[in-house]
Amino acid sequence: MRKRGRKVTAACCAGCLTFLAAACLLAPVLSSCDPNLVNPLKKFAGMSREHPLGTDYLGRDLLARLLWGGRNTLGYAAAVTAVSAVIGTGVGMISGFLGGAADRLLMRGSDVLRAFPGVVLVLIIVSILGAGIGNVCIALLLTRWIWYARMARNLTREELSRPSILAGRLAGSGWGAILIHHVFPAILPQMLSVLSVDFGGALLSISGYSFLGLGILPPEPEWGMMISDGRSYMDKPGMMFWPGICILIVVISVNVLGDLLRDILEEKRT
Amino acid sequence: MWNNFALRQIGRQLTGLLVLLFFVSVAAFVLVRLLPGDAATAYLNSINAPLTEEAIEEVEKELGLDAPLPVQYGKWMIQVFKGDLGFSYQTGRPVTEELSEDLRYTGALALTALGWVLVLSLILGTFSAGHSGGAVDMMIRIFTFLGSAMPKFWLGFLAVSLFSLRWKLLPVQGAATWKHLILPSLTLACSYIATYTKLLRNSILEVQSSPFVLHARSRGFSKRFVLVRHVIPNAMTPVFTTLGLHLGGILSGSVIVENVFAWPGLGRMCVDAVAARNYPMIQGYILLLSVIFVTANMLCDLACAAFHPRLRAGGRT
Repeated sequence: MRKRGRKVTAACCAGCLTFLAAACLLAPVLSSCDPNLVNPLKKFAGMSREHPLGTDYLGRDLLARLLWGGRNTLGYAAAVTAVSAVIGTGVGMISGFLGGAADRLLMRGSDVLRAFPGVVLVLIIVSILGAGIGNVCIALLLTRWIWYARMARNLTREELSRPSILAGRLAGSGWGAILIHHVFPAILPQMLSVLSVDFGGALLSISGYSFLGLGILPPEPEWGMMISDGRSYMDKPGMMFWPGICILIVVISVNVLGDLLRDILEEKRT
Repeated sequence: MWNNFALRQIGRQLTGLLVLLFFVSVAAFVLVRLLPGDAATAYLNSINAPLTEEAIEEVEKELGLDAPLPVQYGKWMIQVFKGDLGFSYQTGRPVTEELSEDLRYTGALALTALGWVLVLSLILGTFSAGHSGGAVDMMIRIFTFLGSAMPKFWLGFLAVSLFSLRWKLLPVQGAATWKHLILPSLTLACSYIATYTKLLRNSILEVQSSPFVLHARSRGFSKRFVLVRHVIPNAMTPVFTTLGLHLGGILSGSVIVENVFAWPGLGRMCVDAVAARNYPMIQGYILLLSVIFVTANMLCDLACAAFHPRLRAGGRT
């Protein structure tokens, strides 16, 4: 019963994610409107065949903006997560394998940085390099990779202490081969569960900074920025509702998937 | 009581935090020295003086900009310790003065949010654990998933459109009365309430299944007495140890919430300052936030060590 409930939940979440991602990828097919085309005659148009979700305060088609905006939001969040996961896992595995002073430095660094307010780093970088999504991504990368490194380091040390590793060594495998063929596959599921939850965090950060006007710059659409556009027109809830609900669905789905994966892994362990 | 291990641990954490503070201060220093248009022109602009070559040279000498960078950094640090962070380009008032005004608002917001987090997550977590598996538990768990995934900027507007615009219960924006504080602080607290409710639920369930609870019950203490007197205090341990971890997030989150509710705090000020390229203010904000973060984290570590003998002994009981 429990297992079946889990499968249904996982399928629902994965379905939602696939649906939204596919819709955003197919934006040119699904909507013939230009997301940045201003049409002052059609401000705040209601739902119609031509504009399925209506238009915003500049007469831009909301569905087109939602889909193209999703490409930005999801794309940048995925990019930040992927890069920080790859760098973090690599550094963490090497650090866990080598141990010694470098390893201690990494752990100390992550201890100190673990709770540092991200906004300070973003402000430093944005003030020096200027506002823009690329610079926000750099700032996010700087703090996020260290989480993966910490996790990968601990898991690697745990794996390396297993007798199977010793057996591999006795059979003549080099350390490189052991790390790549034995340790990496073993820690991968755990890392994926961290990655899933972290993707939600990255998405919230990216849309949050765009909301503040530091990330994606207008007129390019982005979900957080669309919500910011809607703030002056609270009587027209459509502008704010759709991007918000999209963010909510994506973040809930990845959080639930990450939690499920972690639960399954923990059960397997015990 | 305070054995060497604990002291070493705290000392280590302290040096780490101080190193971090040093790097942040260097970054803040470099920030203003890397200005598009150098510091001398920026200064002349800020006092509305004409930009002649002689004037620039004179100001450079006066500000000590011809000295090597480490010397400049040292001089600047001395100024910072004296509380002199320069003048805001936007208003012409001392940065320290502006920051301390805004800090009061952000402090009120963050502390109220923290209060909500502690009170509400304790109530929700206890209920959820008490009715584990039931309908109440299910509803609270759905809330924790929703709450932690909700973007703060969206939640804020939803709350405003419901409570302020539709039902007209609370003010929309601003910071005039205590009523203005309710929506922003709850918005800021929401995701942490969700996190801590989940944490407390699991922690209470874990403590409840430990032998000393069974012992207390078999001695005839009522369920409620054992829960309030023994289970909850023990279950609160992970809450306090992770509170320091979320502090940075609360401070970052306040930037978004302050912008949604036009709350005149640090976060709103700094986004305005970035838009206006008001570097002295950005610099002040970065320094102030880092100092707050470091101090609060240290206090949190010390408090944890003081309240929990087990942690003090470094995990050895």
